[in-house]
Amino acid sequence: MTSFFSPVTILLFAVLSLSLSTPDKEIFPEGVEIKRDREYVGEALYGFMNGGSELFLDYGFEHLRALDVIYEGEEYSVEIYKMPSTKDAFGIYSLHTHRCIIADSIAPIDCHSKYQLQFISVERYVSIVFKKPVEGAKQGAIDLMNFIRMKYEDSTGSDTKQITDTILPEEFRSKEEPYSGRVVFVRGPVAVNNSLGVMKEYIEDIDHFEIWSYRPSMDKKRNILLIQNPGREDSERRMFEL
Amino acid sequence: MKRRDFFKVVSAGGIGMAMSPIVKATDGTSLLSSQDEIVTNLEDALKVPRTANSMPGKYPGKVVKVVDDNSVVDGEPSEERAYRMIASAMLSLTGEKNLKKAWRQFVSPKDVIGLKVNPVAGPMLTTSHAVTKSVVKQLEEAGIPRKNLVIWDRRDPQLKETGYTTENYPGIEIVGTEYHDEKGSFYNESGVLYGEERVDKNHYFRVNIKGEYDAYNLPYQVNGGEYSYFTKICTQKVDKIINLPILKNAGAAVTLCMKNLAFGSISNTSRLHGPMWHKTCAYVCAFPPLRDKVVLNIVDGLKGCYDGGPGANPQFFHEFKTIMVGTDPVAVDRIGHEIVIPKRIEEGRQDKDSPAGYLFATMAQDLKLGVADRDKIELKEINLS
Repeated sequence: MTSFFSPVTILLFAVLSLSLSTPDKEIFPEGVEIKRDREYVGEALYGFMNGGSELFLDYGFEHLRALDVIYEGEEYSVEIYKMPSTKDAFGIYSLHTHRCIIADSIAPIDCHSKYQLQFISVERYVSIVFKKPVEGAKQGAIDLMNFIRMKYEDSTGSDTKQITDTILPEEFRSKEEPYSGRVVFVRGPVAVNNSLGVMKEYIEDIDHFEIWSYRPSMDKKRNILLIQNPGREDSERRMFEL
Repeated sequence: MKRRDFFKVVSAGGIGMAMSPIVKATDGTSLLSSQDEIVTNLEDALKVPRTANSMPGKYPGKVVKVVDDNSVVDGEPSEERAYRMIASAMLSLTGEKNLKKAWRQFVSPKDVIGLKVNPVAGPMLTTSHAVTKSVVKQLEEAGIPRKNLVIWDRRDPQLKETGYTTENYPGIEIVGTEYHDEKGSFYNESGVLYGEERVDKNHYFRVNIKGEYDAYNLPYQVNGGEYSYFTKICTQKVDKIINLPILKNAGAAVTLCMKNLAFGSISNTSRLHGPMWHKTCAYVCAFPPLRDKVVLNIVDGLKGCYDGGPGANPQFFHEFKTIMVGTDPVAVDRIGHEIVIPKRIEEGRQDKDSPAGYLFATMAQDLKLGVADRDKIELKEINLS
């Protein structure tokens, strides 16, 4: 009789446990030289960004991989933040993106700016910073993005609509694309204080809330969706303009 | 369990006795929220007699702001222009016609002088070497021996990664409180944090919010509990401090002179964000290791940020092309607020300004550390463009 706990079974279980419990190191192929590689778990994010970590922790931050790499002769700083969900990753992403030169075009959710490329890959928020500025999309950063996406996304890929339909509330799905730079998802008091101070008075007596904001352009008002007690039976939703 | 459950408010009378409920996350929703349950040892600091050097220093309420459109070239601060800007500001601040005399109003060759830089945002947004090297040069020209200079911050590793090394600053000690050795270990051979050896347990800011940290986070806090100890750099190593912060935001406030001093000088700081942020910026500066040693504040506003601070997100970098100088850190911060917040509003990151954004400055004024009333600040503006 074959025991469930045969040596082969035990070995397979050990390998599986190890792979689940330790971050997989290999992200980039040969040709990408890693100069520095740091990891931060949970509240130790404080060691990377001091008080700035409060914001990430409010969104459930789990793990950061911070790499300095050289690719095709140029230096890049890559930060890969693992969050609990795509929605949380989008929340952090939405607070960090502004005036995208190109948005939601190469990856489903991405923002290209002069010194930086930011994007979402499943439940990860990723930032790639480079020293030599561009006025459009930086090819080297796009290549690095594609390596990361190949690592974390399945081969079928996804498009903007697939992602946004799963994370955006119904009230916002009809909004004009691109969403990057226009839609902001706010969770927690730090994000409100930092980015949507106008909402402070609305949430003064509310413990649990989510706020979605859509602003098509700077000269237009914000469409705000305030969700009180999200995910609970007594959840309430209010839409207004500010 | 919510993240903030880690920070337990301890009853005023008991050490280690968690009698009060967990600090609620929503306490952070209002910077003006009631903090009646928070107790500190500020009274201990206020009992220590002030000295001739105590904040706000020789020129209370006076701020010199210098702008030079040519101070940043291709994204890089110019050392030559920074030197001129600082020199102009020093002469204007002091009324001296000679730069050496201007500096000698604050320092002497016998002093060990600590330059408190801000490397926390990494190489892209650190106190620029253009400014720091200009300050070093002017101090040497004023007769201060190079060996009497110390460049410091809380984070030793970040000093090094932002170029504050003995190679770039030969003859000057570069030192941080939180330290790891060449192998990357924060612990010495006896299993004690290097940081713990570098804090002075005779000088502390005590708050009844208990920091509790896991093994990952503890090296960046040095200790948990109710005490935040001052670094020995402040209490023992230096006689005087010249503060070199960067012009950055922290939400709808500025993280500038007082924040750079307060949070850069003590341990166990994670618990002091959120509802304690403003109070910590003000209160810690009232303690003698800072109050009586900070003689000058020189704000590096050549490159700063209007959002994403205090970290570095290039989306929000801005070349303010400004340097500010003053002995009064409160007044300097108040003027810094006037520079950063309008930029936030212009970029749509904030709708309007609010006094809540400079609450820490108002608190510091009440503690007689400087001037926060805008009407009482004398602002001198110089344009070198």
